[in-house]
Amino acid sequence: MDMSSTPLSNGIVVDRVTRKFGDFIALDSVSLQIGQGEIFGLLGPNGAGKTTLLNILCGLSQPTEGSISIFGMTFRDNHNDIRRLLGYIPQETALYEHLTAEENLMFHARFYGVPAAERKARVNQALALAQLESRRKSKVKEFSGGMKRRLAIVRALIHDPRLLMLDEPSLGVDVQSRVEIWNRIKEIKAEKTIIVTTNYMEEAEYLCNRVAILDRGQLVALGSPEELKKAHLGEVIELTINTDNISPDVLAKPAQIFGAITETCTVEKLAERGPGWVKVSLRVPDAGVKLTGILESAKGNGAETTEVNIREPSLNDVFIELTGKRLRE
Amino acid sequence: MEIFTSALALARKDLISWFRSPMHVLVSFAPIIVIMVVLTFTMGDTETMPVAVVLDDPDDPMAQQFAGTVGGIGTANFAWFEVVTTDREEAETLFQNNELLGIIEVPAITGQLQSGENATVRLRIANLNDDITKNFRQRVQEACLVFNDRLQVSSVVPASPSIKANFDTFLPEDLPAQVFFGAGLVALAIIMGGINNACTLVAREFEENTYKELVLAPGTISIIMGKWASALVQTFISVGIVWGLAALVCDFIPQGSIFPLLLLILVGSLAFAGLGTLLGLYFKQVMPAAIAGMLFSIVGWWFGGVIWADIWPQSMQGIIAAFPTTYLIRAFTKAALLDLYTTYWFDVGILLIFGVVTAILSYILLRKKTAL
Repeated sequence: MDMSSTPLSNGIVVDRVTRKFGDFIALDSVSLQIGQGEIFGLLGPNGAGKTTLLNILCGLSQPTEGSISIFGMTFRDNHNDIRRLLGYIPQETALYEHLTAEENLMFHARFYGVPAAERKARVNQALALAQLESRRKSKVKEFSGGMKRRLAIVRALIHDPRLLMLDEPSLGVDVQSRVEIWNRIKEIKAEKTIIVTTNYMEEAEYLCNRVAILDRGQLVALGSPEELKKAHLGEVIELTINTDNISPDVLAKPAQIFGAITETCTVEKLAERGPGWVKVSLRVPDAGVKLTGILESAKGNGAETTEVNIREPSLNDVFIELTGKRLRE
Repeated sequence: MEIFTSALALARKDLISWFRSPMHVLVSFAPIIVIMVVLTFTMGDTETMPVAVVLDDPDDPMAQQFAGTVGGIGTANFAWFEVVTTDREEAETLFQNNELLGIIEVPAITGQLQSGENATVRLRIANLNDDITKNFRQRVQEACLVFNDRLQVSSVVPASPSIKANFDTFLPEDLPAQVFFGAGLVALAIIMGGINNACTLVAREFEENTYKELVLAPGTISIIMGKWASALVQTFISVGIVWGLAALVCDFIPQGSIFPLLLLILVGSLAFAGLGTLLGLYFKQVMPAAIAGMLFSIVGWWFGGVIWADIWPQSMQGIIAAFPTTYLIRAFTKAALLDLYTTYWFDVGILLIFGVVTAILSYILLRKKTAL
């Protein structure tokens, strides 16, 4: 998406929002803007403040300090108007288990004021989008986790909201269902602004135009996945090294293997190890230029390199770099 | 208009879910059935009271007549007293062995009564519990009244009751106790139905995390309206079931028009649905909300008089007046049992005020709990 053509101020504006629960600061002066038509990802480890921010954006919680506006409106002045524009899918799939798929959708349509003449068509469209037409008369309690999640997503679309908020949309579903859910979200992208919180970096990369990474309530990065990768990491060199001639002391601090060259790159971790070998990851701003020097330094310190792999960093690498945490910590 | 559409959609959804969960339907009236069974069992034990009637002077004609009155008094279905013995020594032994509920000692009263003086009979009661004691005294009091009536008719002595009433004999003489309990149980069904149905409907939305879908929709008031409408329908159904059982088991058949009773079910259900909504919002879990609702219902029913608040001592009347249940029970039992409406509109007014207050509090608490 070309953000220069999107008036961010007409979308969602989060201005220095802080949310405290007693002494605990769940969100700490977070500011960001989301343009109309964007799919925007909120990333962060558990407890980073993603759901708190989402709850504030949909009015389920109020900021302790700061303000938000949705399409130029505030909850204080335009409470019901904003509500009509919102579709929200909470983290926990919350459907009425004793009702059928069709009854769940029809209830939502009635409750959210969809005109009677349009309800049936909207329900049929939603069932088609969720690929649940053949199960329309089945009670939801008989559905799998993936089917329930798909139904929950299309249910939130029945009243045709302009802003759709999805809290961990593919949490707890199998890989196949996850891809189906992503495809459904891609299909509904047109003309809607979508905010997604997720722990899955591949989900964010697949779906989002831009992402914000939160950690301990603070905004630590904001931009498109490509921008973040470029700005924070460069490239990743993975070396498999024979450890027969390396002392355990050196292995304990793998940066020693590479000597002075580590001043221009970052030895990230011992990614894997086995009998007689270790795999080391290095983040390097310019891998093509630095590779020869790295290999020579390793050789000079008695480390024989048996395999070299250069790859683009993933959003996962950015995430770990910025938050210091692996996913699902 | 949109609010009503939303409220109706919510009520419809709740009722479909309710009817598809037989356990939920059963829970809405099962506690009352248990109480009914227990009361019926208890009442069965105390229908006829074993007593001894001991005459100070076995040859005193009016003392004999009073003893005959005690032995003969009762309803068409059962005698109130079984006179086990008139022998003082045997009476004492049986009383000590807890085989008699009481001894009625009748002095030689003919001379006193013929000279226009009041006479007194002495009661010795095995006060096993308050209910039996009250019931026993009430029945003896009734025997005295019957005896005095006969004296007046025969003009043998000047009219004067033999024993003063110790408590208000407000209850009609010709209705068996189980009928009163039947009316009281239907009143309890209204109270318990209103509270528990509403608190379960509200708490379940939180327990199953479905409340977010509701509170994010425009128009918070439609949630309360929808929940109350569902609770109203559920309560009418559970009250209907309890009423039917009360008619079968307790011979409870209303004396007057059915419409004032239907109005009371409507107003009572909504008023107590307000309290149930508050409990559901406070606890956010079905089990603790339902237990709290049931406790309030039964305590309120008990202090509200079970069948009639007037049976409680004066010292308790302040507490009784504070319970909204008192007004529902009073209005319902008076209308159903006596076709009497002296306090009806006052009682309905109190219930309406209670309903409005709980509705406002529910709205405020709902907005607070969901940070709207």
